[in-house]
Order: sequence, then C-alpha cells, then structure tokens
Amino acid sequence: MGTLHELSTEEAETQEEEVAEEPEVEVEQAPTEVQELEMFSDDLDEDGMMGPLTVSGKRDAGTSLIDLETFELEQELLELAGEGKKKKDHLPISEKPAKKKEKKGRGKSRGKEVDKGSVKKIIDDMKKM
Amino acid sequence: MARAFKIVVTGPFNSGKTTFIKAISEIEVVATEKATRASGKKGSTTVAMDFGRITLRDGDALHLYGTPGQERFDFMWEILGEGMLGYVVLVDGSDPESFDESERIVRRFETMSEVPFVVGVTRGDRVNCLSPETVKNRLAPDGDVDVLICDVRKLKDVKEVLLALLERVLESAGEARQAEAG
Repeated sequence: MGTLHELSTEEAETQEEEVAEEPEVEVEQAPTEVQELEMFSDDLDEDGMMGPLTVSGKRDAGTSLIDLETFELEQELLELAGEGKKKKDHLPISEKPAKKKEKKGRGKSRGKEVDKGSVKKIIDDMKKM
Repeated sequence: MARAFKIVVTGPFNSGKTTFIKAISEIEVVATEKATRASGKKGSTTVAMDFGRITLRDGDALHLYGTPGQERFDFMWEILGEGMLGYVVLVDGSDPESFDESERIVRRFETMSEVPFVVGVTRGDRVNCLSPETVKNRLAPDGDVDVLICDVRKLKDVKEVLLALLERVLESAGEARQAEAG
C-alpha cells in the first residue's frame, strides 16, 4: 500500500499508457500538398489483396481522408457523395458498437433534378475544354 | 450559387475507371487503392471511391465518382449513386469473361436509379476487342444506349463518352419536363 502521492502517480501513469494505446488516425496536411498515405498494412488476405491501402489526392479539393481503421468514409467525402449528416467520432474498433449488416432499400431514385439549361451549359463548357 | 453535378463511373474490376477519371479531372484524383493480385490482372484496385472534378463556368463543377469494381465493395455503389445525373459503365472489350459482371452492374444500377447511362468499351486497341454492337447486344439488347469505344488514357475519348452521357441527360430532362406538362 503506497502513499497517496505514490498512488496518484501510478494512476497518472496508467492513464497515460491507456491514452498511448489508442492513437487517433488524424493526418494534418497543408492544403496544396499531395497526399500518398499508407494508413496500415496487412498481408495477403483471402481475397487476394495485400499490402498497404493507399489514399492519394489533394486535401482542400473538396476531399478528405478515410477512416481506414473502421473503414468508414469521413463526413466530407460522404457529403460529396450525397450521404451523411452527422460527424463521425473516432472511437477505436474495440469501443465501436457491432454493426449489423443490412441491405437498405432506398428504392429507385430519379437522380438530381436538373433543368435543360443547366445541362446545356455543362455540355458547352465540356466542349470548350 | 455554385452547383455541383455528379456523374458516376462504374464497371467491373480492371475496366479502367480510375484512369478514365484521371484523364479528365483537373484536380489530383482522390484514389483509395489497395494492392491486389486478384485474377492476376493488375497491381491495385479501388476499394472505396475515386473522386475527380471539372470546374465549369460560374463556379459550377462536375464531380466524377469512380466506384469500386469488386462486388465486395458494392455497398459503395448506392452511396456514390445518390443524386447522380447519369453514369458511365466501362467494359473491357477484350475481356469477355468480365461481361457477366458488367451486366450485373448495369442491372443493379438500373434498379437503383432511372438516370441515363452510356457504355464505354475500353482496350479497343487490342485485336480481340469486341465491337460496340456486340457489347450493346449483351448489355442493353432492348435499350437505346450509346456504346462507344474509349481509350481511357485519352482526354478526347473520355470527353466524348461524357458528352454522350450529357446528351442523354439533356434528352431525359426534356422528357421529364414534357411528362410534367402533360
């Protein structure tokens, strides 16, 4: 049984270790730098995939990174893809609730409502490229 | 207010989707790739999405989203397809074995959305590449679908495919307007 001071020190050390075990996968990048990230690597899996998963591209181009630890697209990408409204928090896998895989029946969408004038404008711009 | 229009580029594994977007995107394409040996075909494959962008006048933009080609990532198709104007299906014309998969992708997208699509036949420079007519008979025998040969490395070819799709979108916008008026 140690003194109060010793116990406090031990507690603090334990907490520090816990924090160190769960690093956040956050990458700070300058807006114009090209990213070529290898977030984690694994060996050949049963589907014939191997090696690191790379995410490349530029930050600040309407893009973001992907939370590869949990394989969830981050908010910015989801919004660009027309999905998602809520910011995802970065919990380690061990603390994430188990997800039930279920097929979503969204039905047939008609796509974004677009007027002829807008499409003509896109076509004109594309032709000038 | 600047608007973003979305076009999805889909197709089986190794049909050239990422290269297609890279050929025309003005930004460094955001690619999520993983090394693979699947089917002994290529070194890497898209696992989540590719993203490219073309800026139009008045600040509007055309966003290009490439889907993963492998079925195990097909949950992304619906996410990426939300709100799209139309989609491009790329098919490796020299790989008839991938046609079943192409057909499956087309059927799946047809159930997801009523927006128009066009087919780009890639690797047309190979001697064993099938003709656009053959590909059309296989993928859309009853439909009025444009099938174009497309070298995904060439901006000109990629542009032609996108323009063909946009013409289809224009037609369908007109039809929708007539249906509303009628």
